[in-house]
Amino acid sequence: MIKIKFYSLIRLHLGINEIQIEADKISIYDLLQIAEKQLDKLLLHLLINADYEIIPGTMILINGRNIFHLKKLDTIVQDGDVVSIFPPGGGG
Amino acid sequence: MNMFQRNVQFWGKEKQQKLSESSVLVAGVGGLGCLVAEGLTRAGIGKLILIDNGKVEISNLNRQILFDQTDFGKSKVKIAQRRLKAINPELEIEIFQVDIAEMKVKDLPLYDGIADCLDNFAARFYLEKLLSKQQFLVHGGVQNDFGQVTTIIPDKTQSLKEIYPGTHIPVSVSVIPQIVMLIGSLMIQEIINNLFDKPLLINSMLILELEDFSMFKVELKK
Repeated sequence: MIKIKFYSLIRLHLGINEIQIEADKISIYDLLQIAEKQLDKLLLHLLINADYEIIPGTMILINGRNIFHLKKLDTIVQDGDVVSIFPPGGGG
Repeated sequence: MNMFQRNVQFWGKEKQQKLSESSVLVAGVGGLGCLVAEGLTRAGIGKLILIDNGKVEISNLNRQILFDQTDFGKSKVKIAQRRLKAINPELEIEIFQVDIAEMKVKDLPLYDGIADCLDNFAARFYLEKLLSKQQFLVHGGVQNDFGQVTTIIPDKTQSLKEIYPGTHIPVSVSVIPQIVMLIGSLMIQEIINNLFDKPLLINSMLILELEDFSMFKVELKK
């Protein structure tokens, strides 16, 4: 089971705090596609642009580490992992 | 009796003394910076170093609590210095009206920690270069009606650059006063936690959302 937790604007858009997905050793991109189907709400376009890049200002963490430092959207997630997704507040 | 009597009643003389011997660099004297600087002053901090290149504009007044209608066009750090000294004349303040990217550690007086009250990530990545291993940085960010706070300590946590890679958010973000005051207050608490050697947001980011009064902690792994 992989847990995806949503925060801030994305949580409010989806109206849900987290979902669990029965999957093992799949890419974060494939996981998010499954999540979108399971939620039955548009999700991917909030996180990823048409060039298969993470939209600037979007944080996708796997077990507390930003996937930007891993293999980005090709990073593999596995059973027991926790994915956290949110846009940070940039202003001061 | 002195102005810190109610603080001492809560946390005791020893911690009040510790605060009076402590110094914090406040980077950015905008919404968060005004709140953090005033809160630390009222808590009894001994010394503040304020860095901001800006002048007061009318659009600042929804959230920048040290400024008013008489301050337009004036240096933010100079006005802030005057207001903070009026609250506590014994507070030591040094001001720098420059871009954070121009600052180097050798140009600055000593400080125990940094309050990251900046308004963009590029400047924040410069700021953390001013951090040494013995120091802490408390990061705050706000947008719309949500915001986040975390503590950065070299070798103990990820850096801001590691947490926020590739992040680009326009400088002029929408923001309402109440989230600035809440995130600023959480920053003050975590700065004081650090000064008392008990930080709570090491490898953990606190996210506050006003829309439904939610507060979450997101784990950040070193």
